[in-house]
Amino acid sequence: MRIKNLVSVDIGGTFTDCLLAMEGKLSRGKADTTPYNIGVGFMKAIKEAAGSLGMDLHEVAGSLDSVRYSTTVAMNSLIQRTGPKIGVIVTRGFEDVLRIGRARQWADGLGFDELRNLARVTNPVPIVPRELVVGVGEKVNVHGEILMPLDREEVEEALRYLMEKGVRGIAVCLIWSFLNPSHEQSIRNIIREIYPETFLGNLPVMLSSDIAPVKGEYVRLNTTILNTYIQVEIKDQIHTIGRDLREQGYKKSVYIVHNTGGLGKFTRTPAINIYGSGPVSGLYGVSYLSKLYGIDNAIGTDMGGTSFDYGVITGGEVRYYSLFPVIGRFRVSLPLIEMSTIGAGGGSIASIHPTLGRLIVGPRSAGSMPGPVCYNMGGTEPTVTDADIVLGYIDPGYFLGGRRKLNKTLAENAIKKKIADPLGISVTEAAWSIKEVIDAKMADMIFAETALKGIDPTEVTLFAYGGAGPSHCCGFGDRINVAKMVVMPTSSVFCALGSAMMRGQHVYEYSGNIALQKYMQSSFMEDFNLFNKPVKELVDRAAKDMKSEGYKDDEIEYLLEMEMKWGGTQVHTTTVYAPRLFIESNEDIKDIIDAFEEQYVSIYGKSAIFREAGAEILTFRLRAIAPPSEITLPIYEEAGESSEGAIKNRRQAYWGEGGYVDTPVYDYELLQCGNKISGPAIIETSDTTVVLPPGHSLTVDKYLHCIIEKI
Amino acid sequence: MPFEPFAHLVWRYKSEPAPERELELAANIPPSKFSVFAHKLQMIAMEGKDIVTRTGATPACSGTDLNAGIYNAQGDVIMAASGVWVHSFGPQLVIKYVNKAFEDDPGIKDGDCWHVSDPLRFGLTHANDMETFMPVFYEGQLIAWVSAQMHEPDVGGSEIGMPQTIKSRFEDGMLVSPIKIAEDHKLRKDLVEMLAYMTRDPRGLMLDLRTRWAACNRQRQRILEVVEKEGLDFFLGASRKMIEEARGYTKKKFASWIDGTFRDVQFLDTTGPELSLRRTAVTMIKKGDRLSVDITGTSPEAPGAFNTPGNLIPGLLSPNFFSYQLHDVYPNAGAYDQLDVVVPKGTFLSPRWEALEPVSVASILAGFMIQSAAWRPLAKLVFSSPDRNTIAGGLPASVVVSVYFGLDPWGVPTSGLPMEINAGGGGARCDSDGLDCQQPIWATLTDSEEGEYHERNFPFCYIIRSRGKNHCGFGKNRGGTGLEFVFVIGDTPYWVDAPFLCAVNFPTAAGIFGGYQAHGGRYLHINNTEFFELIKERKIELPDKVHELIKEKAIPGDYEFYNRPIGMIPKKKGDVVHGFSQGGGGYGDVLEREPASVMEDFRQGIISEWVVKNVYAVAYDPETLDVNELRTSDLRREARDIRKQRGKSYEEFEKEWLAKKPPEEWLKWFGPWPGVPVDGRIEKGDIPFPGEYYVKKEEC
Repeated sequence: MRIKNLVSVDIGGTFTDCLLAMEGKLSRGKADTTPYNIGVGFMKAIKEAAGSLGMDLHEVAGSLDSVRYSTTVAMNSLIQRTGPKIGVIVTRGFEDVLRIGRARQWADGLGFDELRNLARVTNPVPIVPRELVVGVGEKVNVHGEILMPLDREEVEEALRYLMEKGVRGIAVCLIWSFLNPSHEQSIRNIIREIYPETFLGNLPVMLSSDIAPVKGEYVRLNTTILNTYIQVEIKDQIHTIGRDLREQGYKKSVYIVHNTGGLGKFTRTPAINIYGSGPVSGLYGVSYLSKLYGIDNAIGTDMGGTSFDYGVITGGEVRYYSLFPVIGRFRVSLPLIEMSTIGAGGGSIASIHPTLGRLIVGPRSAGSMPGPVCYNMGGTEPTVTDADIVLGYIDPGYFLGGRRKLNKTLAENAIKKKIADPLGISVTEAAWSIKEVIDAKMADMIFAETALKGIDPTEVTLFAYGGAGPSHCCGFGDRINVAKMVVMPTSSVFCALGSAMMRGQHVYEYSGNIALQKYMQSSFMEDFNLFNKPVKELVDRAAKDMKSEGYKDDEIEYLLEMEMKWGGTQVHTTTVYAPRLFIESNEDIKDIIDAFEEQYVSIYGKSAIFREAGAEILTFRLRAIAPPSEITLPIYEEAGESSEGAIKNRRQAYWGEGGYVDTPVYDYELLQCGNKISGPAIIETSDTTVVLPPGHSLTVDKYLHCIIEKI
Repeated sequence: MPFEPFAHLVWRYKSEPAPERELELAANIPPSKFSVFAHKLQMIAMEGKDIVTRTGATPACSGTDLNAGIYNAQGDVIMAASGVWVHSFGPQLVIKYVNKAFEDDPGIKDGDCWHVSDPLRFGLTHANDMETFMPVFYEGQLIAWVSAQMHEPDVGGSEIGMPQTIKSRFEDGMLVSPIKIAEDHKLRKDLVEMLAYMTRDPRGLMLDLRTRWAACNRQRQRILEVVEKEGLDFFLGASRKMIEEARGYTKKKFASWIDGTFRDVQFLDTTGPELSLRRTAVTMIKKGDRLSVDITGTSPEAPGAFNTPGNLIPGLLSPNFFSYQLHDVYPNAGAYDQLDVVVPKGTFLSPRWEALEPVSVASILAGFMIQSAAWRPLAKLVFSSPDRNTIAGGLPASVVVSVYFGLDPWGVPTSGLPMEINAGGGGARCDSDGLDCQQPIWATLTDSEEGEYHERNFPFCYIIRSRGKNHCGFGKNRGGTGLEFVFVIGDTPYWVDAPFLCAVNFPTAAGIFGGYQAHGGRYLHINNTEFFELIKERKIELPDKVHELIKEKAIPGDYEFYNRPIGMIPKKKGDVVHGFSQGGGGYGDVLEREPASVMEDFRQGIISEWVVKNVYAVAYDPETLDVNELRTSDLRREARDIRKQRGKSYEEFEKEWLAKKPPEEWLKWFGPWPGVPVDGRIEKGDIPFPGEYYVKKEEC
């Protein structure tokens, strides 16, 4: 099943962006997001993209092989707490599990700076009140053996209580249920029997053993609750999109980007997998481009108004999961694709610490309301965008393609009053310092993240997107000496591009304890079935699901990942790619341990190796991957190095030690393949501004992407 | 003591005198470059911490009872990561000692990695908290040190984990003076193996020693990258500026608080082998931009495990400051330049070397008393300043768990302690309740892990893991509750449990401004049960709260309550173990708490009916649990009237109060009753020997 014509949509909080690929041509569409019914903005964006190709919506819909999208809708329902009342059933004695958490849940989802004053920290506001959590007597042990059987009457009593409280969904999480799900399944059966669907309508019952079959009752329950909560909330909205598309003549399935990577059919997508799928799409866009350029290691960076998101690509692939996956402020047990975030963006506020007397930039943000001082919407605290204006990088008359006019004088006055005067420096020096500090902050975070993955930051290519990314990428990229930077001026549809290039994919996990080699022993595990049996079960499940989506056996690619650790009580695991799906010999086991050691050394260094401890696998994670689409980016003809024709004007811009320099400003729309620009220069698009400092060169490549290198 | 010529070095929490050259360099660091450097340094320390967290074997990795730090060449800490601050401050003393004592023999060389775990000599927390530190050389010059620290569950003492009933330090686990465990960038495998096999969990320690070494190597590498990029002069200048900045910041903070003298006491209830009341006295004097903390009046040392090295006291105060009032400065030695700590000799918080008391075991538990006792004086000191929102009720320093050793569910030797110890209640604040199950007093960002984690690593079957009833300190805003747990020993051929108990009878989380101190409770074993047979047939109903378990004796067996350490107890399948972490201190008058909030606590099982009626004076409908506002108003008026009736003049109160005395058996190790007078000079508000620690010659 090869895909030629597709539409890919990213439904953001403010805008819905669309990328349409039709018979080898690409076009873009943009519409306001319509929170009351996301389908309205969705269809409008497609209509605009279709119009660019001279087609109407009906014509396009009937020709499409695939529709896929990512969205932040799930995030909004969580943030705004508009979801339904959920009831929870747990093992008796664990009713307080959500209040106990892991003790440090007050820190989950927050940055380091937000955690220092213990007199001000807060816990995440629970989705389920304590009164809606009930316990039932039962006990399963660590080996999956039933120690105490479930009592039907007790379950019925718990259900009656929850129903009387008016719950609209039930999450079940029993201890060790993922090793032996029979008690959870019995509870679901009892619910279905007593409260059949015809009576209750669509009351969902979610089992933790289905949603998140891995160790840790708190994170497993969080995952199950969030899934229940989001599903009830957004199901109708998602259904609407499918219905509207079909009304226009679309006959295939609708796919949704998963935050665990890849795409899945809407009907086979756990709701929680939708959360945060937009940024993940962006990272897959970086993965696609990395492969296109033949780049092994890359960093995707998305600098917007309030936050800076970044993720790492190795071997051209998206491979990393969050060590402590958090959704909202809730720790979950999903293999979430790692996109780290810090509070650094165009709206980050600069201030002088009252006691330290030091310049601080972020994580506080002016947001979009009142926004930077230069927006003239009531903001009084200077921001990174204000500094960029003072330094001459942003044209106050051409911000967002001229859609918003900015006030430079207000920015200068604010920086003077709040930064320059207290520090005894000029306004320009103060603005430069703001830029230096925010760039360094982002650089440090990228450096730490890549270094902890065993990747040399100086050998990576940095992709910069998001409204403020191209303006600052040379600032943070230079600080970590990245080899090369790639800027896509069409950054607004970058996430849509990512999902357009994404392959269908499902992820399956098994949690267990498999000792490949024991402490101080040279021999290996003798029973290969301990490894092969759970893997075979995962492969069978995956094959069934993929076939139901129309893929043939020989089209499905399997990738087995393992969470491994040294033998004993080592607390955290390392993700390792299995050299093969099944093991047949001691050599195969040795290869796995070697792969673990190699990965371990690349991250932590040789010092931390302890081979004598033995090696264990705690989790198998199987990815079943569909064939890639046949969509490609258009290629443009070489037009020579001269970029003179694209210069639209010149203005004074500040470049540190070089001071203010009369700097050429280029119109990106006029640049052609092969054009070269030497810094200092500024390249403007309707979405963003590329800032090219002295000592850098920019080349427009055959995809009309900007490749930036240090001279 | 450390070799006498260098003995003073292990008391030097304050920064060493700055070389003129460094001060000159520091003065020329531009503000923006300094902000960038400070952030970079923090990231380096955090990367070191990340490595120990992600690669270690000790349960401390999930509990994050660990840290990493960066020091200048002289040994002053310039950056601590996050977590247990004292773990990053302690190594200063050892580094300063090694710099001098071992300068020539065996010498300090590039590629060394040092290891230490002798608390009394070097002011460390206890033998379980092993410290590793490494010099950083650039072009042959020593320019910095880096460190990594983690708690180990067992160090081979006469009792598992952290021996508590011992009377001599020679019954303790290994006490390692500074030694090189790596030379020329190579780990000394012979030494690592020797250290590891002196414990009950050699596999775990062997990995953890590598882990610390790896974390130090990474921090060293990063520092050298900074030096290569920015130059040595920049690094030395900016490092010095870190200390200067923290000192300047602390000066301003202290100066902004009112001058005055503030006092408080906290009580410890054990020496380890014996029950005894022991007092921690704190006199805090704030004058100008300096603050003095004097522990004169603290009970004497005693032959037991609960004694704390005196030179650890400044470090133990670090959470009080860096996680509250000084939360927005990078924690380093500069802040200590404004703090004078007065430690008399011979108290249980400053035992004499020659007394041979063990200090390296449960010493840290005794040490937490100083944190606890400093809580209320600091709250009073800061209340009238803009820093009022940094005040909260006390965190729990009591410990009511056990340490254990035996074979895990997979048949491999293991040892540990319940990470539930990390789920103490947070202190109440001026505008809100404390957080339930937040953290203990000694650390931030700790993790209590989940029940399944413990059941996977230890032969346990958890039956209760809930918030404790009546654990929190009551008040207008209540403290957070602690975590209460009960597990049953499952299939294992060998298991030993050693109750790890401290301040059980006299709990420690300070209430402030009228809020109650949080409550304590007993440690429970239920022996000789037929638990697994009974639940298999569902012949018993399992309770969801501990008080029901005890009240109903829901699991038939022999109920044994403990209120002090009793050494190691072999356990068998079906034996039940109970423990808990204490709640946080309350804030403000209980009669000002919103009645609706009281009833919500009652609904959630956080407080009992007795507390609703007798502490909070709230009347309610027993069917609906709705507040009877009118009756509550009457009850509270009556309660206030009773308070007024109890009122008396200070002279009357003092006369009555001084006539009271605890039973003699509780005063064996208390020292003179009612206490020694505070040193005269302190009383007058003078600060003795600014910049140095004052050691009184006479004993308490």
